[in-house]
Amino acid sequence: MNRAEFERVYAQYGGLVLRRAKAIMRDEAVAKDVMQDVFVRVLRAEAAFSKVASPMAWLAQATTHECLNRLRNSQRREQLHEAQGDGEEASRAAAPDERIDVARVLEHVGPELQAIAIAHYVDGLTHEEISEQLQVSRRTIGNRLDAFRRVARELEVHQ
Amino acid sequence: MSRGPHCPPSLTLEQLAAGEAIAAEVRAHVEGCAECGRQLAELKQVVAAFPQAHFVAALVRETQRRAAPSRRRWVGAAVAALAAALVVVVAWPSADDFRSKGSSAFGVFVRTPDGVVRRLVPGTVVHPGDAVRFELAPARASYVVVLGADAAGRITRYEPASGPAKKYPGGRVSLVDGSVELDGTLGGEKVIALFCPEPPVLEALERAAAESLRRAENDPHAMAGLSMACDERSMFLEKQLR
Repeated sequence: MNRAEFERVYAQYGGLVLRRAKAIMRDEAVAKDVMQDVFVRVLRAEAAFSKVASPMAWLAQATTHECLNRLRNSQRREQLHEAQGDGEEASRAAAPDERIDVARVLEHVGPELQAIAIAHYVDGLTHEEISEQLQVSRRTIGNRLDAFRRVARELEVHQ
Repeated sequence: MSRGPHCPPSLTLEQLAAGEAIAAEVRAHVEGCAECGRQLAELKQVVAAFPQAHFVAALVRETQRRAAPSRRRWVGAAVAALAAALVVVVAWPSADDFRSKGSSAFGVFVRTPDGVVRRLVPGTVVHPGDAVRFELAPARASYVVVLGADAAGRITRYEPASGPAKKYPGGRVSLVDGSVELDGTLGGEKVIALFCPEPPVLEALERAAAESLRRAENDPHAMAGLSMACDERSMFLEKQLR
């Protein structure tokens, strides 16, 4: 991938990657760091990247992965806590009665639940679509999201 | 607003906004659905507004205007190795993004030997002999330290070059005095800007960076945060062979 090609990819997808990172991380500066790391990945995987059917799907997955890596770093927890207040984007895909502080709750659940919650709350996938994507039963998806909401409520109580 | 029963997921709308092909029946739905249309228009706006090159140009002009006599420092390895190296830098898209509300930030400019100054943007290629200069935007008045952690396992202190950490004013953009020439060490380099509320112990920050790099097995991309009482921002330089 030469410079012109990379710039084209960056211009075409950079805003969408940044938007997705902001929806999960809820911190502008951290989201920019995530975006930067994602495009470093593009540079590193240029041969594979140029062959993918959907660059957007590749970038979305890389962005989610990078965000989850950062969320696992417990040092971010306090900053996320402070960053609350304008979290509409993180909950965009959820129904209006599910105004959950997704970014904060992600800090307190395991990797499997994180993946399901991001698929639902950030990617806007239905239980059925998540079930197909993760090869897990719909019932399990429903149970996991119930568990996610319980954690959210507990965090709200202890806030 | 939640999805209707026939509405595609967000990713599909993002694919559409980016100009990718999607199934004809899904496209037909989006074209006829007010909510999908609204979300698609919003996503297209995100794509269209990124990046905004005129802000980059304005920053470059400001840098040239304020440029002070350069403080040149050579970092690391043999000059001969530089001829084979280039650096690809992934940086921020625009100047308005540079100052994010409530957060500290930093940026990087490069000056070529023929005097051209430009802000580093994704894909920028710099050659041996180019000078790099840092720009800082503390959210509040802070003592700033800039460190580099490279794939050779080295920690380099870029700011302060000597003496204790300097205090930078909050809420405005400042240029670090002088410039730095990168060496030819290939691989990644993580440049870390630390915005500290109190005068930091420089050796402690350097030790923390060295320990983080060691734990990451000298892979700057795998480094964890330094866990110091400072606001931390980072940027990666990727050095590649031609």
